[in-house]
Amino acid sequence: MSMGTSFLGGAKDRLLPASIPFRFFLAAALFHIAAWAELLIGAGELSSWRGGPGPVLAALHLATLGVFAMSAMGASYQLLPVVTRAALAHTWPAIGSFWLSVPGVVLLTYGMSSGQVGLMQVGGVLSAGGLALFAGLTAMNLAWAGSVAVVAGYGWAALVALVVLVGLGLTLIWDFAGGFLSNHEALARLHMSWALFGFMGLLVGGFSMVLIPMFVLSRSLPTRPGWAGLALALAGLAAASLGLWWPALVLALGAGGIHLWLMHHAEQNSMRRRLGLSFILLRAGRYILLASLLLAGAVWAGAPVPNAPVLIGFLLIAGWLLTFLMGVLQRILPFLASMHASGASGLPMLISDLTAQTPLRLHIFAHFAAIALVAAGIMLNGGLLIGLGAATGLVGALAFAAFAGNVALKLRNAMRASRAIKRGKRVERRR
Amino acid sequence: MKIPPGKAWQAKDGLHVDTRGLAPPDPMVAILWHVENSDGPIIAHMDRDPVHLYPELAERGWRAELLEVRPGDTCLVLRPSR
Repeated sequence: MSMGTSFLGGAKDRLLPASIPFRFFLAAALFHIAAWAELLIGAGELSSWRGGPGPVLAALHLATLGVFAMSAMGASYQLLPVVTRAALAHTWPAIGSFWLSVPGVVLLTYGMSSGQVGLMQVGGVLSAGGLALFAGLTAMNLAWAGSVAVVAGYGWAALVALVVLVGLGLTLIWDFAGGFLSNHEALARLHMSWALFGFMGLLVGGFSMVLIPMFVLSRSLPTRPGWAGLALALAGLAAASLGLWWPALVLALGAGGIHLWLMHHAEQNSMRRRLGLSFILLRAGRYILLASLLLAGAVWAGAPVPNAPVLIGFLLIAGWLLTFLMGVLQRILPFLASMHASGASGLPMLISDLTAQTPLRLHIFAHFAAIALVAAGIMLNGGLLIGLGAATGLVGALAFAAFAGNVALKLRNAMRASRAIKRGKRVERRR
Repeated sequence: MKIPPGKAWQAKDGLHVDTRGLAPPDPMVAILWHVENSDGPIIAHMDRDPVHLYPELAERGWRAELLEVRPGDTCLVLRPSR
């Protein structure tokens, strides 16, 4: 078979409709705004917070379920089929997972903020349903991932962690109503460990094995250290589940160290001369992960750090995962839009034309300022300082949403123009 | 990077680059390495439609034309746009 085609040729057949990943990314951008706004409401409670319903718990879940899980779902649906070479079996579960997750997160976090356990239960079940659809679809795709076995290994482990964390999360919600758990706080700690280091941490580790070399244009990473990192991370999770916190920390540091080395290796062998703003976020996220783990070790060794549990939790969620994910989204939104958009010339839109630098610069400045201010506020018991940090984070989130909205609008316009040209050509052929 | 992944050979119709069997993102890296070190047509032999490659080619002012598609063998010709 021989054929001359337009720029994307038959490649578009392998891409999901752009509306599927973009709806997740845009929802993540909106939940990002809501997370900082909710933290602003709960600023006075943060430094002394030790769990339980309220605005802090709502802000935490707006970040984890709203931003992290939404971004993970959008990225997995779009990128895994390309990496595994197998198209998604069906698109309806992906759309279904969106329409379960969005109202689920809204109801769950509204219930958490207002202390309404019934809403938390409904929101929790809806969110769990959305995540179950995601897990099922991703599992079907991972079954085909033979050529990237190490990435698939991280993916399978992340899905197991997802099942554990959802089960623990629903148990915790029901305990708010029934009070049947003897140690709610210990289970909440476990839920957080499996969410941050299990589901999200393993997805970050696995996707980074392919995404970072793709972003920097370096050769594929050696798989042995990748497998070793996965083994250490899983052993760390097992140790944390048994309450062996010191071994868990050492194993997590080992897994984190390997991840850092792999990412450094990719950047050292990069073909790209300028890595751009997104890499400031990606690198900072990694180093904040390492700093948070070392801080946890120092605190357990007796270092007098005020409000250490809240500080470490905040650094892991906002400093590591949120920073990393914003860096990934900043890079893949224009990249995916460029893949989907066929302009009038038949060429995809340029990534550089889709990347609005001003909102991204504002976001990066506000993001790091917010983390510094909130962290200082936690240590100084300063509600005002935390509020100032959350307001700064809110400004950054609005700037990021402006960037994401701009990419989505440009993509929509380009696709409309492309469809109009195709319609015109069909009419001409009929004449 | 001094040596790109994959195989390459010069023929009458241009530089052929074979990236079949490589793990991602090596096929994209190999093609872009040759794009940055060549000015003529490149005939790329790949496992599948390289959807991630197209935005990067466009950014470098190159365009792709799909020549042949068979299971496990997609052939494209790449040229500078101008």
